[in-house]
Amino acid sequence: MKSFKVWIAGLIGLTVIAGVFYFNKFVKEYFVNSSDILYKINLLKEEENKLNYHILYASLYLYYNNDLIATDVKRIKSNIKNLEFNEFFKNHYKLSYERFLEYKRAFLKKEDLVFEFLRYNMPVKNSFMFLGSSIPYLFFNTEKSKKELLKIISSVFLAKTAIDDDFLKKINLKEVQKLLNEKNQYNIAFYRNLKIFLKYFPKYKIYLETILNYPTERYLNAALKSFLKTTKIDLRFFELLSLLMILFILSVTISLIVLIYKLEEKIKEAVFLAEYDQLTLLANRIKFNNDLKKIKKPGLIVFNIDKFKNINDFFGTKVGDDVLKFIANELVKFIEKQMPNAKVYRLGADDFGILFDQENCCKEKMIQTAREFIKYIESKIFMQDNTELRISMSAGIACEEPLLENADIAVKTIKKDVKEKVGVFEEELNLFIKDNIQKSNEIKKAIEKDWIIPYFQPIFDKQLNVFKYEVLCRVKFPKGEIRSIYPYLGILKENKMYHFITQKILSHSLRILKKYPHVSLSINLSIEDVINKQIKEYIFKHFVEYDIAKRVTFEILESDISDYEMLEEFVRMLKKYKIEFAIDDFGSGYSNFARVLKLDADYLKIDGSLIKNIDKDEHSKLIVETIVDFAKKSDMKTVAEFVHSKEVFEITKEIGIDYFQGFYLGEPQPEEKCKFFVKNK
Amino acid sequence: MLNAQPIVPIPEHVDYNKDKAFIGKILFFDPNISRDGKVSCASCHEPQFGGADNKQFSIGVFGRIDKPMNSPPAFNAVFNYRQFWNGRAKNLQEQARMANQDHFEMDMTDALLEKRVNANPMYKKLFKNVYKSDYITADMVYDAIAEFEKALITPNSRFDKYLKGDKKALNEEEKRGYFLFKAYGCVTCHNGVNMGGNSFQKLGVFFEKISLPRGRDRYEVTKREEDKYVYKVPSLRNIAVTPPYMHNGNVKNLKKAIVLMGKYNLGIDLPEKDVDAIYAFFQALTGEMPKILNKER
Repeated sequence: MKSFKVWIAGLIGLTVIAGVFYFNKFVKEYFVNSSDILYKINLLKEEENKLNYHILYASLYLYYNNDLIATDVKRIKSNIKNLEFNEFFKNHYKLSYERFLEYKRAFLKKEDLVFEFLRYNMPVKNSFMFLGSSIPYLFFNTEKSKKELLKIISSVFLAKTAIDDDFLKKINLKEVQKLLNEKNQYNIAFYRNLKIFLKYFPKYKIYLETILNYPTERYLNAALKSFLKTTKIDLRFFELLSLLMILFILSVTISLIVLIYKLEEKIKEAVFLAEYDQLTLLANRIKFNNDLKKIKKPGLIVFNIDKFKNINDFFGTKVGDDVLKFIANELVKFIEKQMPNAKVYRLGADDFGILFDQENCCKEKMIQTAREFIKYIESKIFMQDNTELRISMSAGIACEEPLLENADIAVKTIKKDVKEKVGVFEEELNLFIKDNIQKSNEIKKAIEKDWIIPYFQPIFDKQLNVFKYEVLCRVKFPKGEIRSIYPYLGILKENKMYHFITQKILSHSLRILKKYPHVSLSINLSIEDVINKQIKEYIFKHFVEYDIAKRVTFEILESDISDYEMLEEFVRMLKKYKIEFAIDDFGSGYSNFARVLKLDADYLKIDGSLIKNIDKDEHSKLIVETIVDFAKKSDMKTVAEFVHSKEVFEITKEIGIDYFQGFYLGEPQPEEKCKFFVKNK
Repeated sequence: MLNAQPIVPIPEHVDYNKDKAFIGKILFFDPNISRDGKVSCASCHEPQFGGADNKQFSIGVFGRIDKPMNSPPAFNAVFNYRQFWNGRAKNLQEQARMANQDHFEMDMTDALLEKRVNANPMYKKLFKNVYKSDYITADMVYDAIAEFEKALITPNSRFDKYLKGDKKALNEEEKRGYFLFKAYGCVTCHNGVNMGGNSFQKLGVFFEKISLPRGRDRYEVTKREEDKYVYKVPSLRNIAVTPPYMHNGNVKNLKKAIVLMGKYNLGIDLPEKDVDAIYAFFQALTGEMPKILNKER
């Protein structure tokens, strides 16, 4: 919808720009064209006058150059042609153009008339000249005839000069013939020329008058008048259009100002929404990141509310929110007093940050401030709906980039310490994290590339026969290095990848069980594996066959167990198929005999820490004896782990433990080195 | 504005497109643009006869003869107001077209002309260069010929030199001839650059009836009774080298032509010594050969 509006606005904008551009271009062309037309019409008028002048000149002067008239006519015709094919004139000034076409037709007639006139002008001129010049050569009969002839000549002169044939009316050619009856060469020529003059003069006069009064100029004026009228209307139209355009631009400008003003308000609001936490009204992480860039040497204290999740869980999120607001207020007040240059942020759910410039504040001051605030907050009792709450907090301080991450590490580290509430990030902490990341990457790759392999440690009976093997997990790196899975366990569990390892071990175990029918295996399962649906399905699909099941023991870590009921169900179901169970590391933590009993396990594997010093530590021996006693009464077999010397073996055997496992008896080995596998085949 | 001399010298240069004129020159001498392939423009407008021929009647395609018309010179035709004896062509292009299509002259059509010239690779190349067209139209052909004809001017006759200020260019007899030419009124019609060619006049104003054949006169164009025997006033430029005279070419002798014109149009029997003077003056009207004919290009 928004982009649609933008498109519309853009389209309108473009249309307006195109409109202005087109209007500008049109007006420009209009004025160029119309002034050109105006110029040409006026030029035609001028040339018409010139032509008339030349015609008059030709009629009055004896010597004359007709080329001038011919040139005039040609020039006018070329101008007419030019205007006639002017599309703008034709289309835009229709009325004027019609007048102009009338003019054109009139002029073509006038052209004919002009050359007609020249045809009559010639004999009139020549005979007139001859009549004037012949007087000395004429032969007269009498004085009277001489007088009469002179009278005729003067009449001819008057008629020609006045261009008025009234002067010629009295002349009677027959009488003139009588007056000239003497056959003289000049007399004959005189008669002939007079006759021609009389014959041609009236036509000459009519043509001249017609041409000079020909209505061409009238049509031209009409065209001009019509042209100017149209132009005047056009100008008014342009004026109106310009006015409209100005109004439009004005309104666009005003609405732009209004829109920009509104937009600014919205941006302010949006910036506030984006950069401030709505609950506590503190600046948020985005704002923090922006502000961070502006400080040359920044430092950060991160405050975290201890077990905030519990507050939310026990008292509801409303109380949780109030706690956050309360802390935010107190923190702002506190910081304003203590570190006026620092700024308070809400960086996460229950994380508050104080950002400052290290130039204004040393590390000691930071630690002190953090401690004081925590002390202050912990001394206060938060009251809400009759609920009393004591809030405890931890703080992490970081002075090196990346600030937020480092401070976070510092907080997490300090959480493990009960006494200290403020942690400072040091580089070693960072190394620990780096190590973790490296391990995480290694194990991920190992799973991906199938570098997980099983090792087998034999478990012996009292006669030192191999009773079964415990399957242990190793990671085999490409260069042949074999590592224990132990350092990776924490990461595997945190990243919820543990079941991948179990899956590998289970499939290897299955393979071994099928390959060596006389071998029994003891396989470690964590409580996570028992919960995992895939692992569960895998076991129920492949391990329940009689031939396999009877040779399988699952070891479950005693300290791991949190959900006994679930585990009980799991054990009960598998025991139906003759699968046996062992409780691993029994006696390491708070061993719950009753619960172990309920599980109906087959073996108790006594924790190595109790076994390894059993030859020196009476206390350990006592505990082991108790466990063995308990096991015997409960019909469970016992396994001693960590049997690393002859002494230990002897004592454990003496106490009555059933099976033994340890370096003294047999180290964990890869499949190919397990001689027993092959020996008994 | 006042021009004491009714006659103006031929300019030494006129503006024309040299590339077009070059093509026009080739066309002008090319008989292939006539129907029988034997008549070129130059057949009737030969350079050595002042751009006309020395025959009474020119011979067209298949030996056709346009009786009783004598071919007017192509030299200086650019200065004429109209072309042909009766002025039926408004300009040189029209003249070229009409002559090309006239039954008695070249008897062509636009289509045939285009076929002929387009079949000639040389013309194709030349026209392509100048007219930027792969196809030669008839109008292009006429245009090129007209452009060439613009260059057919004969400046610097002795009389023109005299008009331009060289008073010694004419001898006394010739000067007297020029004065008589004006005084008798010849100049009334024979004026301007071409000493004619700028108006139509009736032959034999002083005769009720004239026994000459009319031929293609102004009447053929206007169909007005009074236009019978009306012709474009012929130019007197190079008159000494362009016999025979009159529209029907029936007068071979220039002096006789002068005498006849005195009779026909001035109503005078010119005295012999005056005729001699005018004749002498006419000898001074022969100009230089058009430069375009000298050069290859």
